Amino acid sequence: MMASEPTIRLARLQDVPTILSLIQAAAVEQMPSARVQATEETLSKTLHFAETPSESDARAGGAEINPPHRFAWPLLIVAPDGTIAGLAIYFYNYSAWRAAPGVCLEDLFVLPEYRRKGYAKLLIEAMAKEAAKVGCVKMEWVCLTDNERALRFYQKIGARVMGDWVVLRVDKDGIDSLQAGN
Amino acid sequence: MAPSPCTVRHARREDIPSILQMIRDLADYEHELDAVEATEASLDATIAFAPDNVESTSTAPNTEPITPTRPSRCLLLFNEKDEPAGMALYFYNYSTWRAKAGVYLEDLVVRASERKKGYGKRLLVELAKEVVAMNGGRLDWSVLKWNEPSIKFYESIGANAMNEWVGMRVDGEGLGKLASLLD
Repeated sequence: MMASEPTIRLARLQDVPTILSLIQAAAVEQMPSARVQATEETLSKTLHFAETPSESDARAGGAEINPPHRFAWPLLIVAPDGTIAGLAIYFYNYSAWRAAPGVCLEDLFVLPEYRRKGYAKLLIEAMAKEAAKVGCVKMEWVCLTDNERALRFYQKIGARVMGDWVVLRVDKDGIDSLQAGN
Repeated sequence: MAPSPCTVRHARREDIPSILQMIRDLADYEHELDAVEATEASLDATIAFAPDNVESTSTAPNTEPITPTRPSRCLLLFNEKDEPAGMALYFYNYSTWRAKAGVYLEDLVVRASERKKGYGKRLLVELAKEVVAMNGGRLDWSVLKWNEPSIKFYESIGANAMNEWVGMRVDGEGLGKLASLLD
């Protein structure tokens, strides 16, 4: 018996191969020149899954959140036919001025054959609900300036463009040089 | 140019008043002092501090656990007189394409009286050391486009402006609306 609505859930370890293939499909579409270096092993070790220790477990003396080595939460949307049709991967960030956490959307992707069903919006709303649960004051992400379709979608769901700001990045080579004190 | 003598370590709870002051200093510099709602109590609850009397550094961190409600860490820089002279308030981001974490610098502050001593660079170097120590992939932050002195300084230490990106944000009422849009 099939569900008639899509469902959203936190990924389980067994979903890792699907997560990797969705990440690869997103990269091909969003930045074809990029090379995806993630593997099933590295994803398994660095994402939070339904089975891995949670904050409440850690407080109960449970496992390893210190030092942190799991950094982001993968939400999956499952279509009525049972296919994992898309994902949103997010992590928690911080607002210094409000001394409160926020969430940052790192990856949002829906398989082309499942588009135009509102799945991206459902994923973002699920993320907003999780964010509200822990008192997040903001939800953020970056978008390519020439991705007009995405910019329109995001503004429709209430996002504003942080046009006064530019993101700076020091990549691996730059970090190696900087940490040597150069 | 080597920085003037200074020490850098993770913040302890006793440092909270200095942190709040420096957050306010930065907001004032960006003409947004009214936007600061942080209090000593809310900083206490949301930064992962080192225990009292424990030396926690960028390459040997020893702070409270990082959690969704306590997502940030703070490196403090003390000058040659052991006065707080600067700070880097940061959290951990994640690259799905690399399956690697990185550091996102939320607030970088050097007190007005402590400028031109190399302290900003020292703090960035410490963060870069932490990224290396954790096998991370990148060090990111944002800057206001009009802040030319800062942009020049950042480019001089190897940062690239990601001009093809723009930040998006939902906050305030918009966040509540979004969370309940399908209820």
